[in-house]
Amino acid sequence: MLSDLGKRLTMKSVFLLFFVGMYGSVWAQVTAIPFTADGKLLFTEVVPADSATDDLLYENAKAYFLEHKKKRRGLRQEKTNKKISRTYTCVLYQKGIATQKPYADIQYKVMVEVKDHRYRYQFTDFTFQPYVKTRYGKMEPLKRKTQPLGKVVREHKDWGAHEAAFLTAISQHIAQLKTALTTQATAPDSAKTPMVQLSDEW
Amino acid sequence: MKKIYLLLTIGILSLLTFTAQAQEAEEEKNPLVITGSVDLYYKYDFSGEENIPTSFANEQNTMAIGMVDIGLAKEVGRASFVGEIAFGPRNAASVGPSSSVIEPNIQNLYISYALTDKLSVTAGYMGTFVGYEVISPTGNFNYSTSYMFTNGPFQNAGVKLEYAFSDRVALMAGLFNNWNVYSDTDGMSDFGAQLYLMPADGWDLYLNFVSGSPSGTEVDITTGYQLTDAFYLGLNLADYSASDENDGGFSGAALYAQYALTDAFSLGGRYEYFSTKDFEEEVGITTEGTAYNAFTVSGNLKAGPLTLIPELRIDTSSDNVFADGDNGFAKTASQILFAAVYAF
Repeated sequence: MLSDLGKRLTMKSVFLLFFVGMYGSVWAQVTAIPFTADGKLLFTEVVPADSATDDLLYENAKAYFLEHKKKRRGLRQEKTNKKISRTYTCVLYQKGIATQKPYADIQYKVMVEVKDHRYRYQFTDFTFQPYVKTRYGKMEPLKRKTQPLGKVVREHKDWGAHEAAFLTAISQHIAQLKTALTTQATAPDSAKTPMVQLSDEW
Repeated sequence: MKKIYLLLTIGILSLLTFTAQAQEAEEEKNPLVITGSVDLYYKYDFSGEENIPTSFANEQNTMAIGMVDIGLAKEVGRASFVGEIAFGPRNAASVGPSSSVIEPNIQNLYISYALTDKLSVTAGYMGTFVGYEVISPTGNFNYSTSYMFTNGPFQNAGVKLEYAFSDRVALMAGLFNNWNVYSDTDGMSDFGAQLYLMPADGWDLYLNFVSGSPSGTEVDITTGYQLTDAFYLGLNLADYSASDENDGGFSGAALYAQYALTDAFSLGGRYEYFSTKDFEEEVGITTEGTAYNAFTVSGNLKAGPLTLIPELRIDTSSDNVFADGDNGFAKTASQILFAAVYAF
């Protein structure tokens, strides 16, 4: 009897763990858009990274920002202040029954500052570019209609349908950034790697 | 045991959902985009006849249809394509007077390849790069069209190279068929070029040139400036000369102003001056050109994908070219129009 119960509990535990694995977020979902006092969007956090040197964190951030050569534009570095930033774009889609079409380009700046074995990220300067169909039948962002995203969030009635997708995209980007910095930061330190020396005397 | 099966089933479903979500995320990076529109209108010209000779919204005092337009587009890596097909009177009028209103026609069919981040090559049948207004009713503020649009090219098939010097400067040059044809027996005999400039944020400027025989030569400036979030100004200037100078041509200027009174309602006006050049009707007989002034006021009332367009238009001419409603001719024409455009 007890053994049966034990087996069932074990099975339940397995499935429970399965569900937790399935639905438990591997990244922390931001659930609401954070605004500053002056009405701008700002996603920020100070993340301790005790196991890494400031130089390594900075290099990791730089390596992350230099990924995807095609989108290298907008990279800014302040090496002395260990501050680096880059512009990113994410596309929000309007989902139809069978397919989806682009709704807007969201451009934003991601900045990482490193200090005293910790880093601070800031996602700022969000802009919104709606897509329109061009005379060539292609959906393209309309540059002249670029607006601060904060204004769109407050004033556009159809924004509500896209807010969840936006927050998911930003949450995933934050998680990706943190993973990139952390993973590489905990990798074997080059200083600890045995150094090979070539000598004429052998 | 039942509970185990239940949990197992839910688990498998969850796994499938998870897999589907992963596929969806992958697909979301490069989705197949399906766009299009349908449009219809009612127009009443106060002469009681079809009158103003610009494209598309011609039918008088009847519920009239525009077109069904369906476009597919996809971009993967450096390659992309657009295929757009349309049915209906608006489509037929965009490809020549002999076209059937039932038969479909290609509006766009082209493939692009980005050779580098800045240089791309595109080949196929493309909506023209010349002018301000477009065939699709979703791309215009006013439902009726301008004289310059009506008399300019609709499509340019060919091959073109585009180079983006920066976000603010780009140059396109290409070889094209004669205007508005899928295939051309005399080869790609037209040369076309476009210089794009963005002198300030919100200001787009296009300098267009297309020339060839027998198409003729058109020089066109199209510009638009989003002055404030609500106020937009556009301008189109064009000059066209037929390849045989005796066949005339046209010159024109159109000013567009639009103001968003609310998120859902905008009011816009178009003023156009258009004049045809003198041409030789028969050997030795030259017909003088005609000048037109056209005033159009339109509303755009948006309800999601639906746009309702009430419109009032008054045209005047230097000659008696309009119907007067009494089997005679007049120098003035006026019409009201209500259109509905659904974009998807």
